[in-house]
Amino acid sequence: MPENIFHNPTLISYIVKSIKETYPEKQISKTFIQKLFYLLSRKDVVDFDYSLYHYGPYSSQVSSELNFAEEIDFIVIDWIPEKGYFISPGPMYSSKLLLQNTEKTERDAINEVAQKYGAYNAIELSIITTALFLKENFGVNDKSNLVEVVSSLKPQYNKERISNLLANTLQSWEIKTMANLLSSAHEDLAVQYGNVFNPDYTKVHK
Amino acid sequence: MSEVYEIRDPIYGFITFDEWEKDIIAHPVFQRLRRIRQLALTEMVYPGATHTRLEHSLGVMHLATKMYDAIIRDDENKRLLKEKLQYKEAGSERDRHLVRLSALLHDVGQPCFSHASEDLFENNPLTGKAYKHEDYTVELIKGPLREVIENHNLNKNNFKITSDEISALIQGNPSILGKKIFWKVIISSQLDADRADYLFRDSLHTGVKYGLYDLDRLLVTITLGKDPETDDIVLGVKEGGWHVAESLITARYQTFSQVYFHKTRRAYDIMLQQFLVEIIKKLPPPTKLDEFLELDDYAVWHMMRESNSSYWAKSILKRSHLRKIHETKDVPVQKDIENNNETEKATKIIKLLDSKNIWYREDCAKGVWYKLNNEESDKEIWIISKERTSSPLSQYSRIVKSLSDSRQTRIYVKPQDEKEAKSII
Repeated sequence: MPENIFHNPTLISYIVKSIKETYPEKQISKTFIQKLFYLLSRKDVVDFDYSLYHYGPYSSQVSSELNFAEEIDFIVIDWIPEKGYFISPGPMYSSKLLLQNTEKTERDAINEVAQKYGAYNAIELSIITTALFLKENFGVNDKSNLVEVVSSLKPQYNKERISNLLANTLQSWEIKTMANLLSSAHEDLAVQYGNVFNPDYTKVHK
Repeated sequence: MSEVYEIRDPIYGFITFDEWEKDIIAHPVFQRLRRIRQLALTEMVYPGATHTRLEHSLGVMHLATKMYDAIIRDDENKRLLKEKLQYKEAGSERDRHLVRLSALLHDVGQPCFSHASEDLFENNPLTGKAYKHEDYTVELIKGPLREVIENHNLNKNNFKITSDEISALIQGNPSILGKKIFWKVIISSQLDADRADYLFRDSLHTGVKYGLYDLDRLLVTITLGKDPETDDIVLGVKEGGWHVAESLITARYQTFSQVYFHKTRRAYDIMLQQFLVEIIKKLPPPTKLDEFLELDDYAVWHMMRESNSSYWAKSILKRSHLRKIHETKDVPVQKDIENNNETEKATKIIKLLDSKNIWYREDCAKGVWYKLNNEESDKEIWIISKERTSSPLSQYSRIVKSLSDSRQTRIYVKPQDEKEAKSII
């Protein structure tokens, strides 16, 4: 079936709306959305490729979806000089479109991420997601090492503050790592014995 | 003093390199790029598009160096680099070589026919996602290229640059490179040497002039600033150069529609993928580099000529391509969004084709856009004031503000089914 091109823009407008409801004065910027979607991609709600830069994980695919969401009025992107981007829900956003283009599990995951990370600012999210990226892609597991590497990229934040931020997210990392191990084990078995498992198994449990 | 070598290039005139780089260029892993076309089977539509990844890689090294030099030449840029990245002038020649080699080698892991075969990458068991060509690049730099990189006298006596550092710059791995991953922005960003080279080069070879922009102006206006929200250092162009930034972005959008997403060019991408699936199913993973390296464009052409029974091989060889029977709008309007008209219509067509057992393929611009811009695709380029504050290009350019990524979807069928397919839809 043809891909629903409104799926990702709807998710973006929904997460913007959810955070705006809880934090009306919040600066929701492109950077902020980039990092939130990095966290959502770890929950298998979305599947975007990210690369790491000195400013944290970045996905050109999320950037493209932001442009498209703005073009079709799902979000409005304003620019305030010397402050940055401010994103708000657009005039096309509606509950009908939300139900039409998203699943309940996706909305639940967005609510969870919005609740857990909505209070942070873009720099804090950048620190958290950089640490997660380092851990999951480059095998940097030792916490003090993580703090060292992240602080070298974020000299404006002291190490103690970075350490505290990362401590708050440590528990969810461990859950994810365990899920990855299960997923890898499943794939190894599939290679050895043929894919006799339900193909959705990996998606559900990863 | 190392000897300087030079090679002619159709865009820059001459590209120069030292004897260390000469040995890397001469390595069979790099020379393989002579046998990887930059634009896969685009030559079926634009016969001049026979340029290769080797030519492009040399161009990226040349342009990345020009960009690096332009940044470092400016005292205020150096001050920013010192403030934010503890940049040391003494290490700048080493950094320059690191950037040059990363640019030179950024594409060594490209598979046969470049992006056209990327859908055949196996899944990486560690991530659960398909491998990317960067994974092969890194394995090749750390594996077969390590010796020629690390043990050349010029490197051993001067820089001591390791393969791991080059890989880390391409990957953006600060656990090896620390703050120096900043320089990745020259290799891969909305203002990188990769894009700056391929737009020009693809224009030149296809004959489509849309990819041209004022490169000289870009090189004198490229500079550094600060992101107002995060205070991170950013790469951009000076206020006076915003017109060249605009032309770079519009060049990309126009080349996308005229070349990369050309309907017949995409038909050949799909046919090539069908043939490769038929003959090899998947590309060898990075754990089987020897097999991967064997599989260049020439090897695939040879397989096509030997495959007497393959419909896809025969069709490519006699230039009989798929036919587009339906396409959606580039960007949907309000009515389409509310009623999901475009998707409904495409779904209906697909059901009809299924009911008649007619082979078809959908092709969405989004996937091509994603693949082409697998690192950075933002239409925004930072425009930087004298005070080093940054604003997005769309604040200066109405054209850029109104640009949108295409979401067009096309449906293709085999030429012999075109008439029947059109009659039922």
